[in-house]
Amino acid sequence: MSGPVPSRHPRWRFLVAAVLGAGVPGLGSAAPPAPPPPPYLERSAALAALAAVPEALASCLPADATAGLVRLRVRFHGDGTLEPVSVEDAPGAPGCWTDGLLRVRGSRHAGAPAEVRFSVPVGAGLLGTPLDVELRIVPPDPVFLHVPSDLEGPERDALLKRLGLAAEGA
Amino acid sequence: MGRLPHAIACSIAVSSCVHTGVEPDVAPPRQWSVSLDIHTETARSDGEPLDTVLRPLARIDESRRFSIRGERALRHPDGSRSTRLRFSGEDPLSGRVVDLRHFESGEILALDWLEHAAGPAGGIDVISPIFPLVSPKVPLLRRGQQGRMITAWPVEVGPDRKVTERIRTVWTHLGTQRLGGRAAHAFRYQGDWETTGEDAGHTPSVGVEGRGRATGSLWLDVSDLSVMAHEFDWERRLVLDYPAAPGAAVQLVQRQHLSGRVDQQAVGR
Repeated sequence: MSGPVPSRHPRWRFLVAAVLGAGVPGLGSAAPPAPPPPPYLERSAALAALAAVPEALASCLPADATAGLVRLRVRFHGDGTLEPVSVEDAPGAPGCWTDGLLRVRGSRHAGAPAEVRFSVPVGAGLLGTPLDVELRIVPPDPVFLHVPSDLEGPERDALLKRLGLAAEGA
Repeated sequence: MGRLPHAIACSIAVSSCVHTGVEPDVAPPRQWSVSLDIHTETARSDGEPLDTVLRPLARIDESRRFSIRGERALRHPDGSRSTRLRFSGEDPLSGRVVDLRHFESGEILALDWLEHAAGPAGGIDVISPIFPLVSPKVPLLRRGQQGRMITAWPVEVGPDRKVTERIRTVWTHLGTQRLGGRAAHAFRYQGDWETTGEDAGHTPSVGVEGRGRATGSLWLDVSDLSVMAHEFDWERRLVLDYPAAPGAAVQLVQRQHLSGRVDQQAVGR
């Protein structure tokens, strides 16, 4: 197997190297040359790739996931594939995150998440190593109107459409 | 003179102490059983009958029974406390957690993680009054005195969905009574209930406006001013605007009547 794939983002690689204390070439660093940094995934690339695989990300959620924050640790291969490593509820989890919005199309009933807002940590992660992804599952609609608790399935979907609350594509 | 004013004054003094940072709160946990009867009726504001899709909303009757365990978690530098409210019992809310940040006076600063309890199964629309039931803001009163109090609490279900609940009530201190073998300060209150806000999780947003009344009776433990029991009878007329409804905007009027009782329980493991 070949070595680490050289980054295609030299500026990013430079910054990462600086943050990791690898020294800045040309500034008189006495440290020996550091090995090339591992192949970091640029944040925007991570977001784009995650957005391209919403079904894969949503499939990492446990079936009984409720609205709120869920922190997933996934192995993100950067080629559009995700491999869940661990899942934990993380209410109020702090951190520096970049948000994106993932719309899960299809049925919104019986606990299926209507929308999942996902976040990846600034700086993203290493290709092939676990990456923490924070998912905020938006509560199913309607929020402030009281509806029968057993209103599920097509009846509930129809109600949401009737009130103009159905997600795009739902 | 009852001990309540002194006790509340002491607790306010303690709560206003300046702390250097967030500290663990070692106060013992509390637990309450909640019985909540819900009755709602929904109609269109334009007088048109509900169509087939909306008809399930016409009348809803539910009885909910659950427990809330309040575990003190943190003391904040401003003197407020975070109490983790854990729901249990045979109820859709069982297992859900809401973080209540409040002062010793009962004033609620924030409710976090409400999205865990939102949606049709949890029913945040009808459980939001639960929080001031276990954390009421009571005026300083002597026995037989009356006093006014405005209590407001935010109901934020994620960043885009927010309403403010507000009750403007007149309280009467009825004196000290025995409840379950313990001495309790007894109060009665009645007043107005207002709800304003929007669900901006959609474009255009869903408007939410409510008006109604709140009446109840409250018993506070003489020794620590915790809620021993709370009987409540609250109702409101909630108006919800759905401007994105296909064809033409829909405005629904939902009358919500919530009644029941909260009782402090012995804390289980």
